[in-house]
Parts: sequence; structure tokens; C-alpha cells
Amino acid sequence: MNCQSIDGLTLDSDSIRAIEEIRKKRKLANYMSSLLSGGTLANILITNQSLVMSFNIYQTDFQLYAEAMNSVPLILKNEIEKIASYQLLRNLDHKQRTFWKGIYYGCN
Amino acid sequence: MAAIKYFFILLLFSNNVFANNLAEYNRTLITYENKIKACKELKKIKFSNKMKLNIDKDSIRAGLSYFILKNDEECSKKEKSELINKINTIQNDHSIANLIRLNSKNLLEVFKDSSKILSEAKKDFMALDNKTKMKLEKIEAYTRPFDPMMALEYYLKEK
Repeated sequence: MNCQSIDGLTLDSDSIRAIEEIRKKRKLANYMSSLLSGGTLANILITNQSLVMSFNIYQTDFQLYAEAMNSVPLILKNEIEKIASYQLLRNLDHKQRTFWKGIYYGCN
Repeated sequence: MAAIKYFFILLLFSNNVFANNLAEYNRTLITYENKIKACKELKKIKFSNKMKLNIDKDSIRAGLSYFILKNDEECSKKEKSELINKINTIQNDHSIANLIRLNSKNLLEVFKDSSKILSEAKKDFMALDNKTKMKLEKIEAYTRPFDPMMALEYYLKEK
């Protein structure tokens, strides 16, 4: 899947809750932190940065995320995909849908 | 002399048990991962059961949200259950390295969070009226793991 950049992504309360569930999976941080360090998706998924703000996510952020996910064990990746799939089925605006598509499918 | 012999036999037996615990844990881990891969393959299958759903979009979403998590869980339920049993077994086996036992215990935490999401999705689905639930339980997405975007396009005409 080709990932699109997202300008001005604002996360609603359900998306924020879902990301907080992903953040709880601390093992993810262990696997991904070195690869994602400094990236926007690292700030969203791994750190404790506030999610009540607007984000710009670039195609390169998604590509880096997809590469980092290659080093995450399948069981953990599967649990994150469950969270993302549940979000994708919600009534989302286009930007949040694009965000969760990037998390679920990764990028080519 | 007999006591020493008995001691070594017991030690050998014990070592075999401990070695078996670790081997069994590794086996259930690999079996579960293989099942996850097999379940993912099922998601590639396109929907084919054409039926007109005279149901509002929000109800369809509630159905799909519950079904996607329910089907994922059911697809690998047996393998996951065996893995969880093995994780619990090795916690008391101090011949297995602490790091292995700790890493396995972390998996239990990972599993705990996802069952919470499933409960929430089920609650939303069960809140639908019986007629709507019965209609939704007849769709193909009720029966097997599926791809979320495929479902959105097929049932809600969304991309």
C-alpha cells in the first residue's frame, strides 16, 4: 500500500484511546524506539507526548514505521493490527482513516 | 550408593522435565505464530455472498467492528490458549532463564488489553435490536476473519 502524507491530523477521543492502548504495549517501544527515534509516529505511538494536538505525518514517517514494524514480533504486531482494524471500521474522517490505514497495512 | 544412583536418576528426570517445559513453550509459541499467519491468509478472501442489508450504517459498523475482533480471536483461540497455559507453567520453572520467563509474562499483558477491546465491541453489538443482530449474523463477515477495508467497501461502499 502506498502511504499518503497527512497534514493537520487531529485525533478524536476514540483514536486517542486506541493509541494509548498501543503505547501500553511497552515491548513495542523496545523494538521500535531505535528505528523510529525522532519521527512523528514515534511521538504518537511510543512516547508520552500529548495526543490532543495536530500532527503532520509524512510519507517517510509511514515508511520508517513500516520498516520498524518488520522487527516487531508477529504476536505483538498482530495485537496492534487488531486495534487498528477496529479503528478503521469506525465512522472516521478522511485523515484519521488514512492514519489508521498506514498503521494497519504499512507502506510499500 | 543406591541413594546416589537414585539422586542422579531423579536429576536426569528433572532436567528432562525442565527441558521439556522450555521446548513445549517454544513449540506453542511457534504454533501460535503459524496460526496467526494462516488466519491472515483467510482475510485475503473476497466477499462473495451478495445480499442486500436493509440496516443503517451505524449498525453495520457495530456489527463489523465486533465480528472482526471476534473472528480474529476465534481463528487462533486454541493455539493462544495453549500458549497462555505454557506461559503460566514456565513461570514456576526456575531452571528456565528469568529473561525468558519475564518476556513470556509480557505477552500475557499484551493479550489482556485486546480482550478489553473485544468486550467493548461485543457490548455495542449486543445493544442492537434483535432483528438487526439476526440480519448481521447472516453476513459472510460474521463467519471468518476479514480485511477491514474490504469490508468497508463491500458492506458500506466506503473506501
